[in-house]
Amino acid sequence: MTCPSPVTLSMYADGELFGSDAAALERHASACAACRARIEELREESVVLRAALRHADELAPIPRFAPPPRARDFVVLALAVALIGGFSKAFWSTVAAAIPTELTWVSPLKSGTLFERAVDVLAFTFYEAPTMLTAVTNFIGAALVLAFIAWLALSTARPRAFAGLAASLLAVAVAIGLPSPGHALELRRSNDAVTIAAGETIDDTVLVMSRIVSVDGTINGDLIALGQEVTVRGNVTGNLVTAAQLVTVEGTIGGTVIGSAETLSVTNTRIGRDLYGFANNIEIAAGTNVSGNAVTAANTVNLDGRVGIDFKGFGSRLNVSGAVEGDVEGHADSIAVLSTARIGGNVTGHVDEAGDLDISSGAVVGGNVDEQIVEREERRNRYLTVRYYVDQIVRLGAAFLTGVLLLWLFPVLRSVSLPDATAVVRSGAIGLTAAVTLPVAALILCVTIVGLPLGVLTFLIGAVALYFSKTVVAQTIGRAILRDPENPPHFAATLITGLVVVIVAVNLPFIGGIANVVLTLVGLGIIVSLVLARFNRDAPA
Amino acid sequence: MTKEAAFAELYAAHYRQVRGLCRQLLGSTERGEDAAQEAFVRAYRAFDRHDPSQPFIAWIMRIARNHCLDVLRRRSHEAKLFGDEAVETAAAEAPAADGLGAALTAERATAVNAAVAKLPERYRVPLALAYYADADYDDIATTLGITRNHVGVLLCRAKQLLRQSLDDADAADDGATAARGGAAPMEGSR
Repeated sequence: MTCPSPVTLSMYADGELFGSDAAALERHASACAACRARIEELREESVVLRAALRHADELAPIPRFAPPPRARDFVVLALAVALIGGFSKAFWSTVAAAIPTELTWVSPLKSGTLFERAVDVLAFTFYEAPTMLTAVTNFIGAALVLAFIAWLALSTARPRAFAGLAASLLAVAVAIGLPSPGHALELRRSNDAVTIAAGETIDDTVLVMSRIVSVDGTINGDLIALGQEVTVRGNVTGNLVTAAQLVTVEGTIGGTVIGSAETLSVTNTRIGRDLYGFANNIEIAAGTNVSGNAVTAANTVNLDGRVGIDFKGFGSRLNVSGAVEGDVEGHADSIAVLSTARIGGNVTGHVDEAGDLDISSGAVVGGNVDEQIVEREERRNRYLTVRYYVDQIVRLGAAFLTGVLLLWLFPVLRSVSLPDATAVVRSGAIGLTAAVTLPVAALILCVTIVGLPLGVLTFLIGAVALYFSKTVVAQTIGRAILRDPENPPHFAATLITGLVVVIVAVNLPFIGGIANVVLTLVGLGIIVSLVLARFNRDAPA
Repeated sequence: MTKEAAFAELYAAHYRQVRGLCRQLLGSTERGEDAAQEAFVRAYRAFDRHDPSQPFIAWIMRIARNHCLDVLRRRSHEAKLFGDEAVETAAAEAPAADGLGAALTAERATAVNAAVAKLPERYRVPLALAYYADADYDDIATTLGITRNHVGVLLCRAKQLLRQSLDDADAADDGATAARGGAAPMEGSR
């Protein structure tokens, strides 16, 4: 009698042979010891095989489960873009309102015109390097398109192979799309002092970071100098961009000077193009010749040198004793055109009260003198106008709508709480740190040409976080007021309650400004803590 | 408990088993992990439709199995993914095919897994379904679109090849004393 085929034996051992087939095999096996042994082997084998197959996954690491991206995620993207555009204006005015009056001069936000001037500076930078502008625009456009494609790819194809492919494509595209600096960059850094000596010539863009920076030599390119004391006595053929406590310029600058300092002093200097100064004190001494425009934002500006085109000044005191070939326009508490001044065009002063624009008798003004009195809203009792209350209701409504949206998109924000005073102080401190470091980080990114888009992005993210900071605090306050552990109130109810409290608080006379700052910082702190916590949780997974 | 939390718990409890099935069906740990993630993503999307009185593991394993088979079908250029029944039967019943060998022992789990991963798809898939997912022949036959007998032939053949592969690995180890560590060269055995 022939033995059954291996297939039949295997099926029988698996318990998958039925009816007459099974009966026939059992009849054979009762007489065939070899087949009985074989069936027993096969059964043992399948037990071992099952165990072996399970063995490999017993200790496999369990990766974090990533829930699939939802339409909601795209809404976040689109809303972020829309919100940034729509609310930046509201944000700027909020920040401007939060700054105590004595410090208004440091705030470029206080004056809408000054903000525009800052945009001008940016535009100027772009104008200086049109190729860079193109590259940056292309970069941002390409990044948006790529982000969209990546999001699409990730949401339709979950496997990591696809995600990896999309990520590498993105990285390659970013590397190609990144605007490359126009020319080589020389970087000098030191903790104490960097000196570019009188005989030295550098044919590059130079970036210097040090406590004390002295430039006596020649730089055939742009100079970017950051430090505590920056002194430029040499010759820079390109632009000078500098930020320091004390900036002294006594040389020749072929391009534009953009200086930010506590004291910016320009003496016996020839500036080939424009001068943009942001400082507490700006001295443009006699013997200085600015071929283009001079734009300053400073507490005190003394202009004794010559300006080839127009002079625009923002601040508390503007003193003009030099020569301006074009117009003089000032936004200040007091503007003095001294007797030695020679103005080719018009003099326009935007001042608080008549007489704040003072033209000395010896001064020569080629055009008209126009004193415009700025009507400042806060000079009237704002609490007596209907408009004020309408504004507040509109503000409450807007904050409520955006807040509901925010809490809907990020449910984690619904449950934040500040259990005690320590938590409030801690959040405030974190918020203050973030409020200080974020703009600095963004500025540093902006200064490096490649980082410009990142820097701008950091600014925008910071702006969005600032805008929503009070919403987050309002939600926390609302939850504290309506606390009911048995039947938790809906987040919209706690939000509107909290927002009413917050809006009343920030409009209180005298302490409203401080309340505004504190609430904003605490909210920012909460947001930053949440973001950091999220990063920390993701990291080890 | 929120949907997210409930799902996260089920994920943690069943991930390894799902990963194992996907790994064996697709023949690679990396592809298996991707497929397991995808299976859970699909389950997450359809979680509202899952009947809580039914065991989650059976449901997710079914999703994972269907997904992996889709992947295999997409990847395959052959119309007949599981070969020809007559040809396979002849191969399984060839005189030297069913050689004995105490190759499959519990201590050799790593080598067994490596050998399974190297099996051609048409043997590996039914093997995984039968001995890992504990599916019966009828279920496998329906899933793969082949006859019940074809399933039996493929499983018999799969185990034959597995034994040969492990025997060859032993021989290679003995002969060269090369510390190749149990990786089984399958090429010689086909």
